[in-house]
Amino acid sequence: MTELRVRVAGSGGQGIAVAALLFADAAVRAGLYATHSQAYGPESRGGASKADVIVSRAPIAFPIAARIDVLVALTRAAVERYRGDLETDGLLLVDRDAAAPLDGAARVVPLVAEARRVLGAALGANLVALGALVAATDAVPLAAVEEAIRAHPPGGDLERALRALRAGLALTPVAAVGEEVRAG
Amino acid sequence: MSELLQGNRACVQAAIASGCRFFAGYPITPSSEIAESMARLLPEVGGVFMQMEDEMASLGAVLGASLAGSPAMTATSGPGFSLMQEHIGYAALAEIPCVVIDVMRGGPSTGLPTRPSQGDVMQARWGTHGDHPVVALVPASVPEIYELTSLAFALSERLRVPALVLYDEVVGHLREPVDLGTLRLSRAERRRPTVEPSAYRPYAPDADLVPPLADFGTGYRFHVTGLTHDEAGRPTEDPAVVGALHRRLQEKVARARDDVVSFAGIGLEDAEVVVVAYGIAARAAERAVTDARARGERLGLFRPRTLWPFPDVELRAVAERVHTIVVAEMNLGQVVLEVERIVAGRARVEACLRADGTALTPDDVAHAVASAAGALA
Repeated sequence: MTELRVRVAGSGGQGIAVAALLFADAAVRAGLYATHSQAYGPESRGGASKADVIVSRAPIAFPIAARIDVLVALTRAAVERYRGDLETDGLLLVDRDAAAPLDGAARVVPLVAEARRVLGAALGANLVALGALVAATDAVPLAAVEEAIRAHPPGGDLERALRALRAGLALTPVAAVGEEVRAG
Repeated sequence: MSELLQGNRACVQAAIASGCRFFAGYPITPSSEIAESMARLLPEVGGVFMQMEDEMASLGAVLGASLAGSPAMTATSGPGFSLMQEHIGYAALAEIPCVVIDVMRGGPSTGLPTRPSQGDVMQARWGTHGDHPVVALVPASVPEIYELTSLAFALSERLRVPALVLYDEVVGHLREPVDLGTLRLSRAERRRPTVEPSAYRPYAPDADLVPPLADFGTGYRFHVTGLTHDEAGRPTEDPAVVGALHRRLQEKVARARDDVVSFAGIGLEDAEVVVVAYGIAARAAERAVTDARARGERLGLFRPRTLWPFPDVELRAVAERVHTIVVAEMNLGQVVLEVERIVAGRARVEACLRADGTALTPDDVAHAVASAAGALA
């Protein structure tokens, strides 16, 4: 694998684009190529929102992924809309509240619940998801993710952002999806 | 050192680095980050940001600032671009430098506010009434937005024309690594009069057919009008003067053609089939072309960086040696008409179109090329 294709999807206002942006920013800080493209509806809250991040060791011609290696889904609608784009050995990281029994191989993680637990609000589930994504893939080093967050702390609250990130990191065991991208 | 930068923000950085000190606009998706960044950054360099009541007023304010001597721009999307057409024509006739960014979304009307399209490309050429010169640039990446926004300022100031930069929502919102230190900024100052104010004839051209432009408030009093005018700026209906003015407005851009027109190519030296595409569609095509060439297929890409004027001589030369040209664009067939006109039977011209609010894909291009090749066999 020379590139890792990640889609973060959920509903407008959940910080989908921000979580994906921090992942892409971290990849660039780690010396990789990355693109971030987003698609969302006209609503400022609600409606579907998704962002694609491609991380690669080579320049990226086309930034929208047709097939994806990882789908991080914060809503049921996101699972249903995009799971068909996952590679057969791809990873579906889905929020517990959005999971259904039929999700099979999906890794179900309590993203929103963890945000509520460590931050006292569902807002911040995007950064919990970012932590889970960083732990579940091995393309982008954690130090670079923390550096990206320090450079652009979401909501202007660095301590809160890092707390959410760490809660997410603890949710998934370290996996090797995308390891080759980082290793070169 | 590379940083992850968004297309719309690269546009703002290029504008300011190229001397833009005035922005007036009415924020509209998917161009809003331009207004937002301008509001923050322009005051830091002594510039002025104005949020206006609508897009007509926005371009009107830009023209006023430009006449006062400041490189100036506005940014919008389809609905606002429609409203700006009147003042684009005014800028063309009164020869007022200005840069207009149109981040294209689905139309017509309110259309698809957050979804990409390339439906404004013919509007950029013919949206305002009457014959008029226009320069329209079509970047396909974040670094190219930076370079072509800068070029738009240089051409606009030098030629005294409205310079348009058109890119789709995908490219506008795309973030990718950019090393600004390695990118090219274009420099061109507008020419100011060297004669005494009493001898100044505001529309008397120099040898390059562009008249020097005096800044308002510097003692050079002259009349600026949307009426057809003589060299002194006075309205006229004299057919000889009117005809000469229209020809000069076209000819000043035609003479500068080699500094305006550019394109990029892949595999054009041996290609049998060539894809013509711009903006995000060109990146879908680039992927399809690179994949095909890796399989040994002789596919090429012709990517205009300038849409108006079109790189016609260059495309005609390509058309002489290929079987088929596939035009890939996100509308129901606009630039393909221009390509058919230019190619004029030298090669077959096929269209690969998508107009559903999503970006054209590498697969779309690959299928169109395969079906064109199948039709040949």
